[in-house]
Amino acid sequence: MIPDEKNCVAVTGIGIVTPSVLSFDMITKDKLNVSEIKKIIDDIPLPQGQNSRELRRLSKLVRIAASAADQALNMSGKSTEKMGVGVALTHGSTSYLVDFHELLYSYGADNASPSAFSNGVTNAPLSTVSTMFKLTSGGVTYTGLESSGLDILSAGAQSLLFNEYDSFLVGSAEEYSPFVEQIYAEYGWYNGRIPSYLPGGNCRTEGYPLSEGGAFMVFEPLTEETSGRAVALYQPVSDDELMQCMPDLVISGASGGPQDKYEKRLLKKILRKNNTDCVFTSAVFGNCFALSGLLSGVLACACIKSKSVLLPRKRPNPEIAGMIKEKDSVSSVLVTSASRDGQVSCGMFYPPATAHFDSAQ
Amino acid sequence: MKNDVYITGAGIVSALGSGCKIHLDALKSGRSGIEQHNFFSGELPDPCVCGKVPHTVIAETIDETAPDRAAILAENAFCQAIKSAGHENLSDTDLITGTTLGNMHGGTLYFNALKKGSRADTDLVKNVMPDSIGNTLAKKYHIKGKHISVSSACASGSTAIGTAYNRIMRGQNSIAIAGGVDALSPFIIAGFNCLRLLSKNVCRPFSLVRDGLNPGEGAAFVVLESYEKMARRKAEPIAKIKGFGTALEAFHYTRSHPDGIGIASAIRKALDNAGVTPEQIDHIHAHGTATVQNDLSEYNGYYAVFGDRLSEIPVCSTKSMTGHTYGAAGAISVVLSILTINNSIIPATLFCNDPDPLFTKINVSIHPRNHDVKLVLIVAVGFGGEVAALVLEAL
Repeated sequence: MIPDEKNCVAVTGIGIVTPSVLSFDMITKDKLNVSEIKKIIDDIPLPQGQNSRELRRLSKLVRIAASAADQALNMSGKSTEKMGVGVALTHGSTSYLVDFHELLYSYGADNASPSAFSNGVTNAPLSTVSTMFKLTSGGVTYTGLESSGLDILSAGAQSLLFNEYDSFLVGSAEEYSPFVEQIYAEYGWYNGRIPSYLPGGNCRTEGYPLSEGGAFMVFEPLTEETSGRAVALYQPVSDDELMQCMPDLVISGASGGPQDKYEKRLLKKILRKNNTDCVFTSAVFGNCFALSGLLSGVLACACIKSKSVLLPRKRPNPEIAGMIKEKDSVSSVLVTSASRDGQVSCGMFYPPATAHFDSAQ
Repeated sequence: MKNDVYITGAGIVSALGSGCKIHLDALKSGRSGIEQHNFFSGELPDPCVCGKVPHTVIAETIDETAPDRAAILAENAFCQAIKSAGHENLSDTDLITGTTLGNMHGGTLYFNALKKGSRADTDLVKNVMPDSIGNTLAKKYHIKGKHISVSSACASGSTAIGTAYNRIMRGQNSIAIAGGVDALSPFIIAGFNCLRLLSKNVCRPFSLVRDGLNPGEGAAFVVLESYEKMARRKAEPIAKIKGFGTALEAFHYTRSHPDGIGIASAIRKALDNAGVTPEQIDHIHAHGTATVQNDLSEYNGYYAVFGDRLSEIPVCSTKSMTGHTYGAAGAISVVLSILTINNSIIPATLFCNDPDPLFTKINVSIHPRNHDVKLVLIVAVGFGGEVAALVLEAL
C-alpha cells in the first residue's frame, strides 16, 4: 500500500505520560530497556498555563489525559478550532467510582460530594480536555477492551479522511487501580508474574503488571505542508487491508492476558506472510488496556523517527519466534491490538517522506 | 462517495413498557410511566419519582437483576429491532452501544459486601464496565462486525447511532445495530441527587415551575443499513438518517452553557451534514430533562438556530413519560421520532401546563398533536458539554 492523502493522515503532535517516559523526546533505546514495570506516575507534568490549584481538584486520570493532550497540542502547534477529539478507555474512571461508593457509605445518599460522581462518569477525560484546550467541534469516548485504543485512532483518522474536521486530537488514558488489579487477580487474569514469552502461553495466569499513563496524537490531513512537519504518517487498516501491509516491524499489544490467544493468531497470520520484526509494547509499559494501542502508536512514531527498533526484543512465543526476522532499520510499522473478546484492530505508520501526492504525478 | 443510511428496524423498552406498539399507544394517549419507588430503604432521596421499567418486563427489584440489568434491557430492545428488520444473520453486522454507567448496581452490591466484611462475589462486577453490554450481545448473537461502546454521558444513545451512521456513510460497513441503554441504580440516583438535579414531582420539561429530572431506565436500538444492503435483503425502510452532528461546549463538567452554544453548534453541523436548512425542519424532539439549566440552554440553542421560526416548529420532550434514561435517552428519542414520522403524531410534553415565559418562542403542548412530519431534529445533551444532533427523514 502506498501512503497517500486518500488513506493516510499526518501525525503532527505526540504526547506521552507514563511512569517511565514523560515526553516523546524522552523515548530512547536506553529509556525503553526497563528492568521493571512501574505502576504509578510519580509526578504528572502540568499542562502549560493551567492553574495548579484547579488541577488538584481533578481526578488523576483526567490530569494524566490533560498532560498528554497538552504535549501533543504544543508539538503540533495546530489551532484547536475545528479540531475533533476522541478518547478511548477501558477502566478509566474506576478509582472515582470506588471513591463515590465510599462517600455514599460515609455520608449517605443525600450528602455525598458530587465531584466524585461527576469525575467518575466515563467521559470525564474527554470533557476536561475539551474544556481545558477549548475544543468545541465535537468528539466521542470509546469504552472498550484492549483494541479500543487502536479503534479510536482509526475513527479519528477516518473522520479527517472524510473531511469532517480540520484536525483531530486522539488519545487514551488509564489510571492504575488496585481495585481493578484485585478483580483481575480474583478472575485469574493476573498474578503479577511476567510471562516467559509473548503472546503469553498461559493466558489465564500470566500477565504484565497493570500500569497507567496517557498518550495523545494530533492528526492533520496529509498535504505536502503537513508532511514536512509530521513525525509520521498514520493509516487505519481494515481487516480486508491487513494482508496487503508489508511492514518492517510489528509492534504488538500482547501483554500476557486473556487477549493473547487472539493476538497470537493475528501475529501468526502477519508474520507468516511478511517475515518481519516483532516487538511488544507491554514489555516497556506493562498492561495498560485501551492505552496500550496508543502507546504502540507513539512507539511506532519514535521508531520511524530514529529509523531503528527502539524497543527491547523480549523473548517471543516459540510458535512465532521462527517467523520473526530481526531488522536493523525501520521505515514502516504495523501496530496490532487484540481484545479478550476477539476484536482486533491494526494501523500502519510510515515516514513522512514516503507520502505520495496525486499532484506530484 | 457517501452512502445513504436507512433505518429498517427498531426496538424500545422504557417505563412505558416494551415494544413500539405500547409506545405508540402511549404517545397517542399521552400516558406517563413515571411512579414513586424506594431505593434507599425509605431514607432520602427516597421516595424517588422515576421511570422504572414495569415488572411485567423485568424483575421488580433492582437487586434481583444486579449484575446485568442494563444488558437485559438492551437485549429486549435489540431483539425487537432485529426482528422488525428481519435481520437474523448478524455475522457481518456492527454493534454500536451507548451507555453512561450501564450495569452499575452489580458494583454497588460488590462494595456493600466488601464494606460488611463478607466475601464479595466477583461476578457482580464483571459486567460493570460499560462495554460489557455490547460484548454480551455480540457474543450471544454471533456478531462478527465491529462492536464499539460509546460513552458520551446522556448523549451516548444518539452518539452510538451517529457513529453507526458515520461508519455506513463512509463505507466501513453496510449494516449496523446501534442504540443506547442505562438501568436504574441507587448509585446513579445518588449521584444526580448530590448534584441537586432530582425533582420530587413528575418532571415538567420547559415549564416555569420545572425543578429537576426524574431518573429513568430503558433501552432503544435501531438497525441501520446502506441502500444497497437494504435492497439486497429486500428490507423495508422505516426512516432515513439524513444527518448527524456533535459538539462540545468546553464550558463546565455538569452544567450546560446557558446560551446553548454547543447545542446550536451540534444542530448546525447535523443540518449541514443532512444538506437541509433550518426552514425545512418540521419538528424537534428535545432532550428536555426539566432541569432549570438544561431547558434554558436548549431553548437558547434552538432560538440561535431557528430564530422566530421556532414558534412554528412543534417541540416535545418525552422525559415526563419515560424519565431521563441517561445513555438510552437519545436512542429512545430516535425510536419515538420514528413513531412520530410514521404516524403523524407529535408527542405531548406532559405536565408543561405553564411554559417558562422566558421561552417566548417555544411551541410545546401538554396534548399529543396530529401533524405531518417530514424532517425531525433529535437533540441529546450530556455531562461534559457533549451534544449530539440527528436529522431523521420520513419516507
